[in-house]
Amino acid sequence: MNEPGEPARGAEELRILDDRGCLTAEAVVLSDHLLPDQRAVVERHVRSCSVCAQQHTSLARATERFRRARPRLQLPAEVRQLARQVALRGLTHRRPRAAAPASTTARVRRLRYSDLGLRWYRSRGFWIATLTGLGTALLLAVAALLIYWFN
Amino acid sequence: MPPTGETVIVTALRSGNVRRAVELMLDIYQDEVFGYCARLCGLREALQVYQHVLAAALDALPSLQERTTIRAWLFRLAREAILHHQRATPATYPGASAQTYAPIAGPEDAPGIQLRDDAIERWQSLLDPASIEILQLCLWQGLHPGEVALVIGRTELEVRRKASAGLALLDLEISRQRGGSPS
Repeated sequence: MNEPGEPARGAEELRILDDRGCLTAEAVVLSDHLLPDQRAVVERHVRSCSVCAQQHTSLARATERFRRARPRLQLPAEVRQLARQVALRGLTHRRPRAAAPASTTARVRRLRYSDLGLRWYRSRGFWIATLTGLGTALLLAVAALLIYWFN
Repeated sequence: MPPTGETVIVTALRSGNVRRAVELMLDIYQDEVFGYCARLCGLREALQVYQHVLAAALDALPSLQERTTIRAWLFRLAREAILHHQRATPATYPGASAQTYAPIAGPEDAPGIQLRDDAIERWQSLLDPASIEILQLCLWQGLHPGEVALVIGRTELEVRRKASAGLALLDLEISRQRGGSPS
């Protein structure tokens, strides 16, 4: 970022004086925005050259006329407030969440049931083992009953 | 010398305090940028466009590294959002046929004065849209020609050339209106 208030020199250098030694129109227009050394050259030249002084006056007049033609726009206070709220709400929604890398998130998900003692009973493995055990016990009981009956 | 608005925003950004930077950005530039959107899209559409500007700004602000002022960067985002809006809703866009210009002239501190400015209207019909846009950004929004160059993607010299050519033409119109010879 530019340092604030520092006008950047363009890629093409602004010419202040033309081949005849008079001010270029580009230098005269918006002379408020020239660098201090450039503005000094313009002011010095305008004091001594009536042609450039006239051009300067003429462009300044047009500038002022155009500036005054700016449409006036009163932003209602509620619109201003609403726009501000929109921005800050957007910022809140965009705030970075607790930055957990994907690998960490996956590891936490894997550990969720198996690694935490209080939640072991919620794991899929526990239920498979339990159901398998119960099924085996049921089969053994039925087999024992059948053997007892036929004997 | 007290720190300028740009300085405090840049300082907040460099210290990683994005929220503070956004609050400062809103305090300093909201009216300017929102006003720019409202002037080109109308007040009703401006809020929608401004939301897009803010979304883009919030996305890019923490990583803003390019050599530009924040004001110029915001105006560039606003211009892109306005153009996007214009493409999406060409029929309702007030600036679709021309750069919005309300033919009302008068000092800003004298709201009672409303003059039809024929010279300005005639002059605008003679100029290309780029020149009008450049002059509006320079003289209505108060952007430096270098900032305007960044906003519209041209060189500063081009901006100055177009501005000076446009203003010379305006002066000719003013002289004609007065019935005098052009100065």
